[in-house]
Amino acid sequence: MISRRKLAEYAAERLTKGDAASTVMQELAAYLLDTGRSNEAELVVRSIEDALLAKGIALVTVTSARALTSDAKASVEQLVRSEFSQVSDVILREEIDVSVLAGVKVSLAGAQLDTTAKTKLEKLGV
Amino acid sequence: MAELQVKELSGELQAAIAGLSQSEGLESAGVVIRVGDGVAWVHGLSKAGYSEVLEIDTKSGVVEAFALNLMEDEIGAVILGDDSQVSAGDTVRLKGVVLEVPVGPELLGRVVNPLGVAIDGGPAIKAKQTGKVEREAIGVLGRKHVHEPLMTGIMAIDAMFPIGRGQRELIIGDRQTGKTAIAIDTMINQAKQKTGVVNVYVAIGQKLSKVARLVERLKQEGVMDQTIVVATGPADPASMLYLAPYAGTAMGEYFRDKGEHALMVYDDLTKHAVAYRQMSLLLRRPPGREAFPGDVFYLHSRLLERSSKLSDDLGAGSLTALPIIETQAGDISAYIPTNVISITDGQIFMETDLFYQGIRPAISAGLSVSRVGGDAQTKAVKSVSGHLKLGLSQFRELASFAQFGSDLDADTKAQIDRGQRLTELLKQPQYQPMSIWEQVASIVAVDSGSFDGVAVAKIKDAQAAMLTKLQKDHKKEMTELNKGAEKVEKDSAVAKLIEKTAKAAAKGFEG
Repeated sequence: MISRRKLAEYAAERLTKGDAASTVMQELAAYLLDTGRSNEAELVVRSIEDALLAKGIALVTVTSARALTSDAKASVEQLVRSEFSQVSDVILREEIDVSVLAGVKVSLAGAQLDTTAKTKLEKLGV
Repeated sequence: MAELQVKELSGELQAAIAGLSQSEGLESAGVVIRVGDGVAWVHGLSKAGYSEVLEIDTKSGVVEAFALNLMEDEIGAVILGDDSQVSAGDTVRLKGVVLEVPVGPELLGRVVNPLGVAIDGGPAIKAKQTGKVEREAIGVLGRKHVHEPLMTGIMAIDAMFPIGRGQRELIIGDRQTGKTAIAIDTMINQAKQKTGVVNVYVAIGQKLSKVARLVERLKQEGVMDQTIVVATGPADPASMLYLAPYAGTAMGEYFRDKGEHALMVYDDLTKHAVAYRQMSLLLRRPPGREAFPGDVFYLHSRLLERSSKLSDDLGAGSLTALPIIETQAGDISAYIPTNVISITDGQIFMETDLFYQGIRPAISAGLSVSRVGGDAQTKAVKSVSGHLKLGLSQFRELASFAQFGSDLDADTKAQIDRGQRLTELLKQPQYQPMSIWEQVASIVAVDSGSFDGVAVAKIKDAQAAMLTKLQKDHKKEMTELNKGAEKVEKDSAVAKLIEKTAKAAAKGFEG
């Protein structure tokens, strides 16, 4: 049986070479179903994110109360590049969530920066 | 007062804000993949250490857990609290510390849970210090041999299986044989004899009604002021039961490291092993004998190794342990009992048969042993009790044979008669620990044959009469004897005085 990490590295390799994401995921799904490991799907996806980060591609989700300005996006990119020296490409995905009130939450494989007002208030026990 | 409170609040708020503003920059984060039965599986956090505390951001606030299974891309973490608040997808962060509990004198007289949170309805505990729940035991050079007595006040133990400060003495037996009673009496004796030893009673999965009764009794006896109770009930998660003895030990170690003396009572390690088995099976660790995981020996050995007598350089403090193990139908060869027997420095074995015969404490003279306590026994008790264990064992053997026939030679009959009186003498009601002089005088009285004419049923009455007389008429000698520093030779003045008083006291109780 191929380990999750090996599967993720294989998929990340294919994706960085330029293979279509839908094709790679379809093949992966077929393998997981065939080997009765469909319950590992989410873990495999997260491992792929890790593998892509190791190869210099950071998939970053930014959650904020309002749409980010181009300056803010650039700042986020800069932050990711400064924290992970190997990163060459930053792929940003924006999420609007008014419940965070203010600030941003930056999430990528294995790391997070939460500067939202909601979290700060929660930490203060308000 | 109001101004002070505002100032305090202001300070706390400033500190909280400062703490929040420090965390700029990306920090390691994982995500809960699945959760259930008190265990959360976390993806990510590759830098997590064993036993490190994790913070799970749930919808209803932060829930703490600690990492126990570190795998290639997953962490098995045991949740400290209500697992129903945690759901898949929750973010998990490293706290950067291993689990710690508050320690210090602020905990004395309190009932706390394994996280050090008060559960006795009293004010919140504001301890100045914290102690690591998991801590390495003191090394060889930091230790000294066990040489000071830890008097239990139970004559059968202090005379035959003496316990020293820093020793680990197992109390083992079936259910309802008086195991906890021995531990409680030992705690009470520390207060009655003003030894200054701090008691830490760890209730592992005990019925909370039992713990409440125990606390009430300790208060009545005036012992609670020097006692910490770490309580977990059957309804608590297995993680709490698992942590309880380690947390209690951290609280005891505080006093040991200050050069003081502490006594740990783990009631009981059977339930602790069962809680750990539950956690291990839920963490999918491979089951071994009786479905316990492979490291169940290490679970208890690393706990009990923390009990020690420290060297003079480290302050000469001590941590004594009285772990309790419950057996099934007297089977001491089961997995957990044999493990703990081999870890400890001796065991006090409680027999169901003796208990129902009315011989209480129901201590088996044959199966009980104290491996290191001999050096710690007070000279006075040691000088009069040397042959006691052998004599009692031989008597019980002879008595079992004697019941098949009535033709006994004079020597055997005398041995049985003496044994019956000794057995009667060693009976002791609960909550009535005896001081050193009371123990010495009682043993001398029977050993010298002063009570040979007393009816077996009246031995306790004769003993009480003798002790009252000694206390009343010879207080000075008994106070000196109570120091226990001098040997009591057969021909010594004290021995003769006791014999004389015993013979006089025996007169009213001939059978």
